[in-house]
Order: sequence, then C-alpha cells, then structure tokens
Amino acid sequence: MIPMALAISAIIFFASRLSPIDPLNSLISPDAAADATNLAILKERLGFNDPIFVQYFNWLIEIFRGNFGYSIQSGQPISEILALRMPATLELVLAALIISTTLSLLIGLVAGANRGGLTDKFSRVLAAIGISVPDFFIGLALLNIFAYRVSLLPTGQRISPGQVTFIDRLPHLILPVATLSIAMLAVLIRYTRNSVLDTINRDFVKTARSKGLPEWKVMWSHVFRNSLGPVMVLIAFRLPLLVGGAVLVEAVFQWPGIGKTIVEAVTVSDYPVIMVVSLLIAVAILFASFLVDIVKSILDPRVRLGATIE
Amino acid sequence: MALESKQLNNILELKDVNVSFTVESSSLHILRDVSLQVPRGSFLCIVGESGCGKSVTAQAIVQLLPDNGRVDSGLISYYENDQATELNKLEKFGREMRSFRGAKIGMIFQDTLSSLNPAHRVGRQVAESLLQHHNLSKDEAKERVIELFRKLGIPDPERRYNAYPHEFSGGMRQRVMIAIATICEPDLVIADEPTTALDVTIQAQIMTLLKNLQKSAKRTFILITHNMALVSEVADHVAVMYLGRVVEYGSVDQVLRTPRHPYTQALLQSVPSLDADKSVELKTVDGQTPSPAEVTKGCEFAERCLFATDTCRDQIIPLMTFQGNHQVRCIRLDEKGNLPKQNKAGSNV
Repeated sequence: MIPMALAISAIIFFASRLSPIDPLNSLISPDAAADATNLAILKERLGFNDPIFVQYFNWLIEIFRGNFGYSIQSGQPISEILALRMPATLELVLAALIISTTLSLLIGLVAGANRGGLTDKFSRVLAAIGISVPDFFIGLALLNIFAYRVSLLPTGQRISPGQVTFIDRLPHLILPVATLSIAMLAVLIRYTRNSVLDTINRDFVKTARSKGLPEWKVMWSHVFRNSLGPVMVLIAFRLPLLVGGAVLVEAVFQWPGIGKTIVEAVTVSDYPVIMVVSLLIAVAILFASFLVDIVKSILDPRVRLGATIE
Repeated sequence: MALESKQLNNILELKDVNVSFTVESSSLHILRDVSLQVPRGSFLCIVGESGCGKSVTAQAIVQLLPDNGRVDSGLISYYENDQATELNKLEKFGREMRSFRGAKIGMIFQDTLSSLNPAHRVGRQVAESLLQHHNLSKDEAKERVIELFRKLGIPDPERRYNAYPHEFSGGMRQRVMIAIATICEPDLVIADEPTTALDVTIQAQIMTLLKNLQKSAKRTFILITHNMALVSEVADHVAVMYLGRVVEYGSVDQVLRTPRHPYTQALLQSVPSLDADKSVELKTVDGQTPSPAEVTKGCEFAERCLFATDTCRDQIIPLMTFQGNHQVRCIRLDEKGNLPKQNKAGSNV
C-alpha cells in the first residue's frame, strides 16, 4: 500500500509539472510580471529553480510533516481549506452511504429471495432508472420538483442564514443525500439481488435444505451471509467518496464540500490544491481496497490475511 | 390407512413417478413412470449412465428438485409404523416435509467442497441438523457431533469441530457430509454418488463406512452410482435406469448374475475385469444415448438394442415381473425371462 501511494504521489507531482499553464502567473500581478527579474526572484524564492526531483522530495516531506502548502488562488493554507470543506462532504456522503447500503441490502435480499416477486420487479425498475439516468440529472429533477415547484426544501447550500443546530440544517441535506443515494442504490440493489440468486443455486443450499431447516433459516444463515462478500466489496469501493466528495452532486446543490473544492481549483489552475486533494483521494482508494481485503477475510474463512489460498 | 403386509416390508415406494423440467419454456420429460420398492433395512443401488435420471429420482423423493423441475404425477410413499405418507403431496418447504428431511431421510451429496458451506465451521453445519429436529442445547449438540465425528473416523474431533470445510481433505469432508446425513439417525439415507470425487483407496474406506452404518443401525440405504464394482460389493437390491426409466429391478444376484434386460447385459459386459482376456476388446454399447427430448413412446433402448423389433419402438413397454420379483422392462423376453438367440447377423450378445 505504501509503495503504491508513493508511486501515485510521484505521478501527481510530475503530471502537474507537465501542464503548459504556469501557476506563477496567477501569483503575481500583470504589472510586476512585466519585469522578468520579479518573476525570476519569485521563482528562486519558491524553489522552482531546484532540480525537479529535489522539488518533489521537498513537497513530499512537507506533506508528511502535515504541511500541505498554500492555495495559489486564496493564499489560505490547504489544511485549513480541507478542515473547512471536509465535514460537509463527510456529512453528505456518510448519510448517503448509510441510507443506500441499508435500503439496497434490504431490497436486494428480498428481491433475490423472491425472484419475480413484487419487490424484484420494483427493484428492476429502480435499478434501470438509477443506472441509466446520470445523478446530476436526478439532482436537477429533484430540485425542480421539491425546491422550485413545491418550495418544500432549500435549493442548495449547506446552511441558510440564522440556522445553527443540525436539525435546522437537515432540510438542506435531504435533496443532495436523496440524489446521491438513488445513484448508489441502483447498482447496489442489482448487485445484491444477483449475488443472492447466485448463492441460492449453490450446492450447499441444497444441503441446508436437506437438513430440514425452514426456508428463512436457509436464507439467513446460508444464502445471505454467503452473498454479502461481493456486495461488501462494492460498498467499500464507494468509501473514497467520503474523502473525494461527489463532484457532480456537490456542484448541482452548491454543496461546499471537497468535490466542489476540486472543481473550483481546476477552473483556476490552483495546482497545490489539485495535487493535495488528488493525493488524498488516491490514498483513500488504496485504503478502501485494503478494507475490502479485511472484510472479505471476515466473511470468507478461505481468504485469511497471510494465509495461502488453495 | 391400513397397509398390506407387503407394503410393511418397504420403507419407500415410488409408483409411476413422472418428473419434467422446464428448459427455455419447453418441457423436458426426465423421469418416466419410475416405480421402485425400497425394502426396509436393505441397501438399494440405483445404477445407470450420466443423465439417466438417478440423481433426479433422489431429489424428487425429498422434494429438492431444482426450481425448474417438478413431479407431474405418481406417488412417492414413505411407510412408518403402519402409516403411509405421500411425500410428493406435501408442501415443498412446509413443516411436514421438513420433518422428513434430515430427521427421517438423510442426504449425502457428491461434491463435498461445494455441498458444504465454505463460511461455516463444519461442526456447526452438522449440529444445525440436530438442533433443528431435537430439543437440545448447543453444548449437548456439540457433544453428540464430536461423538459421531469420532465414530466416523475423523481424527481429533474436538479440534476439527471448529475447522472450515476447505481445511479438510476430500475423504474427511465426505465423512462430515455423512455426519450431517446421519446425525439425526434417519431410517433412510440417500447417497448420491458419494465416492465419485474421491481417490480409490478413500472410496473403499467411505463405502465400508456406509455399509457398516447401514448394517449396525438396520438402516435403509439408497446408493446412486455408476460404479458397477461398488454395486456388487454393497448392494442387496439393484435398480438399473436408462433415460428416465427403470429398465430392470431385482436383488443383486438377479440383476448382476442373471441380467435380463439387453441394456443391463451390455452395461455389465462393458465393465473391465482383471482376469479378462486382454486380447479381446472390451464391449461398448453401440450408438449414442438419445436426448430426453427425442424419446418416443416405445422402448428408449430400441435404437441401440440388438434384439429390437418394430413393436419395441411403437408400443408402450410394460414392466414384466419374473420369479422372485425380478422386474424387467422388455417385451422380447419369453416366459422364463430369456432373450431370443440372436437377432442381428454377426452380433453375438
């Protein structure tokens, strides 16, 4: 995991240096830039004249020391920006993850156990919508209905003036969370359902039935548990959203999270911010795949850490 | 229902059982009028080539056919203390049917790796059956399971109780399967090719184990196999199946020593033996087994049979009973049950 993270950090760093846009231009006023010596002094002071490998290691060392650098655009420390934006993203994505996981496991398990039943048909419609319609469109549609036409809920932002407690802010959370949940639900329900159907036809389910167990017990302790593995993997791979934010949904709802931060940073070529956020997302993905291995080993005794798989 | 004395001797009877499978919206007739009597305390072997319906018969008895299969007609009767229960009339997953599975009828399956749940400890998988049918505490159940493990020759049973299936060898896994099937001491055990996936030496161990289990508890065993050598060693009765029908049924002596049906004869001649003359080529059954979709109303074996006539192909073939309840589905036999001398020129059967 650590060599992987280092490799990614190198890619991020050197790729950003390949860009034709010189970020220095936005650090300096056009008047001052007219004099080339000003630019040269700035370059020297910021270390841009050092060999590129030295620059890379300096950047990496600073990151390990907790100094993420400064935004070119606002001059704010990046750690401060993260501290400000991260809670918003966590709130949004965590809520969506919990809701979509619970709902999709419930619906998927029931749909799989009663193939062709009402829940199954409903889940198929929901999945078709969720997979084929992009989530920003669902967001816009929800906005149009619930905020614009019915005026039940706020159109965006995380907070309205005068709101202090979490309960006050709750209405702000509903639409973005719903949008994000629907998008995740669709895939997860299909996946859970198919995984259940897969497991039901396995031989050990026949063995369980041959013991005279009631169907609910067969489903619960033999089918469901064995179907969860692949679903958990899918859920774990959604975890990086907690760090990276849901870019499109945050943009639609003006949600001041990490996703919106990275969009803003890209539009103004704020390289230090882009680099740090990209690195964070990459590390989060690496960590998620590490979690997947752990979850798998808990669910399936054949996959034990350090053990050889036959 | 009052039972005739003959029925009292049988633990299970199948009468004209028909099973069909729906495959891509067309119906395939897999079992055709299968009738079998399973005498109490006996060891019955059902033999036949792959796809003849042996396993389907077993699954139909306990109503564990795949989702697309169903029993269309016929009776599957289980006899117990003057009481007959029509198993196929019971609701598939209902309480009554479930009280037969595991408790009165134990099942042993072929592929032990896929037939055991990889996520559960083996001890728990055996105890599960016990806890379902008996009012026992978990500790009592565990004790009983360990005791049975010891009896079945699983070394270090206390430790092995908590192992997972993949930590066992094939032979040990099959012992666990046998434990699952017999922990509730069922009167009838159905073993579907229990040794096919095992080494020959392990096969012998497992078969000895099964035979001992049957003898010691006066249990009834139905063994489904295509291994003729096995049949001669363990069976009391043999049923030979071909393409969804029982073509011959009788005691092991009747079927193996004096086979009547041309298919049984061909099948036995195709078994290699050590003292056979190696210069003589081993006999095979000519032709291909037809697909169940192509079956006509006459004898299924007619196309490959050396004795077949036009009547064989056109007429529904009844089951003929010869001396000692030896049943054969062939109309070419005379009253004594002998086939005509030779039919096709040049062939010597």
